[in-house]
Amino acid sequence: MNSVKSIVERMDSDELIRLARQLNVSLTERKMKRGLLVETIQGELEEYYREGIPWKKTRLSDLAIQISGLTKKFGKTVAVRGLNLAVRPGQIVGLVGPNGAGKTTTLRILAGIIRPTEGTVQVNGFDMNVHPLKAKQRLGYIPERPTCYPNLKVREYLTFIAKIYRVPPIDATLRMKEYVDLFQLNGLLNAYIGTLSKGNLQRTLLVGIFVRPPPYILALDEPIYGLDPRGAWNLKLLLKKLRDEGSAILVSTHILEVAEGICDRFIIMNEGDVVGKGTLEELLEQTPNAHTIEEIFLELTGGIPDA
Amino acid sequence: MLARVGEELRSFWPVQMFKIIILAFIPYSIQFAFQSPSYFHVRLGSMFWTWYSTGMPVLTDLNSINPWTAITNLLVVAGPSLYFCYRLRAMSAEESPSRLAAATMVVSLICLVLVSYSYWFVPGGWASDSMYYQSLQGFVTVLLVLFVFIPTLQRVSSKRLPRRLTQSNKHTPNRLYSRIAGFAPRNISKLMVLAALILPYGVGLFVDPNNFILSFSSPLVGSTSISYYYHYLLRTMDKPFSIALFFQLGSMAAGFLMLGVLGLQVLFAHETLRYLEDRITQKRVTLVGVILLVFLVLVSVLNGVGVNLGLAGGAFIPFPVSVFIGLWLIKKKDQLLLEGETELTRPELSTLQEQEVIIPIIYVLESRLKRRFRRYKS
Repeated sequence: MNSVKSIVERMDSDELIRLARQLNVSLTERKMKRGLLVETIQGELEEYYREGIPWKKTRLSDLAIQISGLTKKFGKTVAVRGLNLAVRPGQIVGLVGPNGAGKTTTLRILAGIIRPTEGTVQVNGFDMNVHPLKAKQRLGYIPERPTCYPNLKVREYLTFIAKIYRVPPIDATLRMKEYVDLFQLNGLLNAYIGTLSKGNLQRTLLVGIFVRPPPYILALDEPIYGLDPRGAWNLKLLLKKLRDEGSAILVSTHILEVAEGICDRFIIMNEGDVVGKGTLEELLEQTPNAHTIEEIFLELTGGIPDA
Repeated sequence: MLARVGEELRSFWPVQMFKIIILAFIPYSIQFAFQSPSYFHVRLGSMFWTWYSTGMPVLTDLNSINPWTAITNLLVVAGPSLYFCYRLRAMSAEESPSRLAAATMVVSLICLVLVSYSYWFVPGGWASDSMYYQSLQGFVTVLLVLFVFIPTLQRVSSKRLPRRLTQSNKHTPNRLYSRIAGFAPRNISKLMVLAALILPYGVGLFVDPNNFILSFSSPLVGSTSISYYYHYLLRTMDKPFSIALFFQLGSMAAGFLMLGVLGLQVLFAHETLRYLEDRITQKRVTLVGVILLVFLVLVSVLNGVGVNLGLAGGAFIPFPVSVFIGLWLIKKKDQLLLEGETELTRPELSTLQEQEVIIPIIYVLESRLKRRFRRYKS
């Protein structure tokens, strides 16, 4: 509840009035001290969340992401071959590999954008081919090349996402404020998405995911690429926090420092095949000549080049 | 209360009145006549004096308007702008002055029309000095630009644009861009407005400085001159009425064209700023720029076939300086990457809590009605 109260304290006048409307707060005076308005709204919120914050009670299925025997062929080219992967709640798994390894294809299949040639993909216990809507309802996906509706303003997009995911308006307003502050999108709320830079678009899509209530099942394709150092730092901290709160996260990246910094387990892919998997310690055991994640990666994807 | 009034008198009003007095003495109306190598004359006119030279000794005189009438007119046309300044000073940073600015402009123009036509109501009144009325229009223009338009744009744009532009390191350093990037963004709004209002009118076949000082009030030039002409016709009847009507209708059409030119120039300046703030798409701002350009070409063509824009100086080609500045800014936006701290950064929480929030009137009424209804039910 304290976190909710601090979000209200950070709101500007328009946001406070919007929240007061949603809470049906009676405001009969034309002018009012901000502090008093904040206190009134906080009181109403306490009443609103009297039975606890609803999303804190939600739990994910034991296997939040389960990919079994996944193969994807484009004509004669095999992009992914026989991939098995599982992500449990409270885990961040890194999908690591050089360019063309099949990471993006895997995530696109996971998000239900393309169909697998063989194998199954389950999200929160729902098969993506059989129950795509239920599977997608819990999944948050950030593509490598973010795209979005260019003629919507950032605020409109976030409100739209909250509506289609049926987030109650009060929860949506609070969550939007929390993550807009975190990703420093305040000045861009009235900007058209078509005018945003790649980094700002990525932040917008991230906020779009976090407007929905946790816990999350996230599939992030190169999420750090395009963010500035502060945005990247905030995202890494946030991912760790979400993991600790029970979210399941699959991150694809070829930036090894990022993977090493946030992932609990790694799956190393090369030319569509899984060439190594496990925690950092397990991978070090598998590759006796390697001492760092970088050396493991090089050893498993073609050997460490001579100096 | 008295202390507060005293403070206001000491701080705000003298400064503003000083500015107004300076503006009242600046010449706005300038006429050149080179009729033959042996004869020329130059006339300059402000709100209070005229300067007349024929190559012989210079004559400076008070203009023919009664000084008391001139002072009254000055106060009437300057009143709305002064009131705007006073209100703007009291506004908090969160309030937008745009609506008040628009209202001030409308009221100023109405005052200008009333003052321009006031001689109709004086028995035997006669618009003997058209130069005075041209100066009055120039005065109102400059007053609105300096007292209303620029402060409003500065307030609105400085909230969102960073205080300083920094050059993107994605591009090769360029000395010109570095200089522009170092230019405080609030100056961009001034530059755009000045470019929109003054520069594009500079080129004519006959160089006439009147073309440089044009304004929101320009459309009124046509209509005011109509009134002078009819007044003249009624008194003298020395020209066929139909011929006079033809020319005056042309003048009136030119007034509306000028209104279009001015409106589009200001709109383009405004849209360019909004694009720099990432609030609209490049497609939209470019579209406004292209429409403006087409309109300027149309005006030039019409002018060429005889629709004079109600201005001295004969054939006249509007030069689209503001379009060029705006399109250049749009094209180079990425190289002049807008970064840095904006003035929207949050103040301390403790000071925030003391601020007053204005609840929308509809919400207040709804709440009161609901409370009454609840009481009635219980």
